[in-house]
Amino acid sequence: MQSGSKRRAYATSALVIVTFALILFALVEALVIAPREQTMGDIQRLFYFHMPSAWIALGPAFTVVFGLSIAYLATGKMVYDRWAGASAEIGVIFTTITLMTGPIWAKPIWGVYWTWEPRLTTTLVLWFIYVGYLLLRSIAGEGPRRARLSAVYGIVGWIDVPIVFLSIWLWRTVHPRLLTGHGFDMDSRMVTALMISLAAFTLLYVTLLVLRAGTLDIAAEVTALQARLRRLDRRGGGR
Amino acid sequence: MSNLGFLTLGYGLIWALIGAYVWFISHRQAALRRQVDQLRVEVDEAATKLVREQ
Repeated sequence: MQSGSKRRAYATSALVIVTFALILFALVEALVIAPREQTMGDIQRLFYFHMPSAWIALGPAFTVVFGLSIAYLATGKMVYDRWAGASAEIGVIFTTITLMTGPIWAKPIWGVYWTWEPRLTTTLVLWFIYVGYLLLRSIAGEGPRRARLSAVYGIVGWIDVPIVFLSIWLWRTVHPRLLTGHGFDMDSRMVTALMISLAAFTLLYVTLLVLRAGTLDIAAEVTALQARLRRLDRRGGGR
Repeated sequence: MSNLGFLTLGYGLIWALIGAYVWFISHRQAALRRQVDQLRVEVDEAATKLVREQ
């Protein structure tokens, strides 16, 4: 192994270990240290990973797709397209977690799994937009044409992100509001558990992005080697 | 289902989904690395054969 790729492998391993340790710490904080919420009971503990999942999707994941799509259109560098694809995939995973854990919390609290209120509906629309983005990438083949189409889609699709974020202020909604005019409306130990979960999931996003983009980089190397082999075979056969 | 039952279901789904995605990435990466190694051997053989023929 070359020293550059060896260093990269060590750095990735270190990142995985730190992420794993921080997730364990976040689990202990959420399930053991944070106090039991008086009204909702233990189901409130789901919130410590529901909210960070939504943060990853709306914050880093889809915003990185947006930024890298602009970067691709500006420079034409395929590496931006690959990283945008990886970030969108992780964003869909975290949006799926948000959409699954929300109803699991809602059933014992609201009495229903789902209600068509603005935050839930716009989040479901967001999920469909980025599943569409991944489908587009899988059917459009490889190369600059797919990258161009994906980049335009990644920029236009991002419009739903601020709508999801602002939905609880723009419309009447039953979705809980975490932030009030005086900061977090929670016990300080709950805020600590939430902050640690946010940090753990943000690091998990970075780790997954590095791993997934690394896979896509190797896939690009496979495509390049296959093209080189075809060229060599043609030169050998053309004689 | 009890309150704790819903909590267990929620946490189970979160980590099952993340675990499945990590497994998918590592499985795919291992398969691609094998393919790269195989292709490098084939490219070297094809290049050597071409040089010999010249």
